[in-house]
Amino acid sequence: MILKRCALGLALALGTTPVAAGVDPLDAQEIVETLLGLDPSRHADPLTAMHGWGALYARQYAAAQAGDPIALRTWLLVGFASVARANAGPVEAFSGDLLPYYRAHPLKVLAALADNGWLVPATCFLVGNGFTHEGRSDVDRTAFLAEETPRINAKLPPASARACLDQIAAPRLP
Amino acid sequence: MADTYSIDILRKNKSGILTFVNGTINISETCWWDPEVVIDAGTYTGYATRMANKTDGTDGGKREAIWLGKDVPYNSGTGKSNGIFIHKGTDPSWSDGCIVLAAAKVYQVWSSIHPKEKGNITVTVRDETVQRGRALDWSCTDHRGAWG
Repeated sequence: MILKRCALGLALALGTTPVAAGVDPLDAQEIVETLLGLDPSRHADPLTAMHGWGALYARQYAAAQAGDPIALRTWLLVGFASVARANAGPVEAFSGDLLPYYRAHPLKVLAALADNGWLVPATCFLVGNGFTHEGRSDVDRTAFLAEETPRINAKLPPASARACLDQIAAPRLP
Repeated sequence: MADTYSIDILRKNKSGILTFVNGTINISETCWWDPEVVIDAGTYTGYATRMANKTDGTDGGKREAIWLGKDVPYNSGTGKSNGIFIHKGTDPSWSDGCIVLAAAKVYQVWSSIHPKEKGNITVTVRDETVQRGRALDWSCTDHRGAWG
């Protein structure tokens, strides 16, 4: 009886305690398979897989915009994988979306990068790419760098900060 | 209307010409690409589709595009991509590996292809080869001073 009460209490406690959503196992598997150059096993054919990668991007981006810190990190990982695999369509989506996201949430992005220095080259490349993406004028890159350099230097280790600022100033495929 | 379609891309130095003929539609239009990610010349199976993460389609939906399929080699075979498209754009800044051309022309091509989401397009990418005269004669290269 006591055991039953404890189990009930634990279940109620878990049910009412906010828990981070975590990474969906199927999304995680799809990202790993994509990084390894394998056909994503959750999709039946290449066309479905292409659309599936776009849907994965959209899910993580939407959740990151809603404030989910794990989704932000997963979205940045999708960016890393897209750059690594030259997945041009999604890279172009990041080039359009990541700079505005960074402008709105610089501390969240830098926190993710501080914990994952290996994400810095691809992420900062995509941020830097945003200044001229789709014919945008490059006029505010200098002002952005002036404003963000102290923050990036404060939040990232020196080597990561330097690498990030270099990529934002003059993006080159990592 | 045809059951299968052909798109030909002839690349020159920094831009190229995309050609598409289908019924009364006859398109020959300037196109561009990202010089850092250049797909290899070759023949690919294309699909008329939409790009999932771009919401600026000419018809108000997601961006219309032609997907070039799985394992498209790029940069002289140093890698293979599953995400190369032909889509709208006005210069190389619209591309991170895709081939881009004027939105109205992409829409014209895309609209005339039926059904969508099928590998019913043959996309041929070629590079212009320029022959600059003939190789120099043996006597002109190594023995230039022999006669005088």
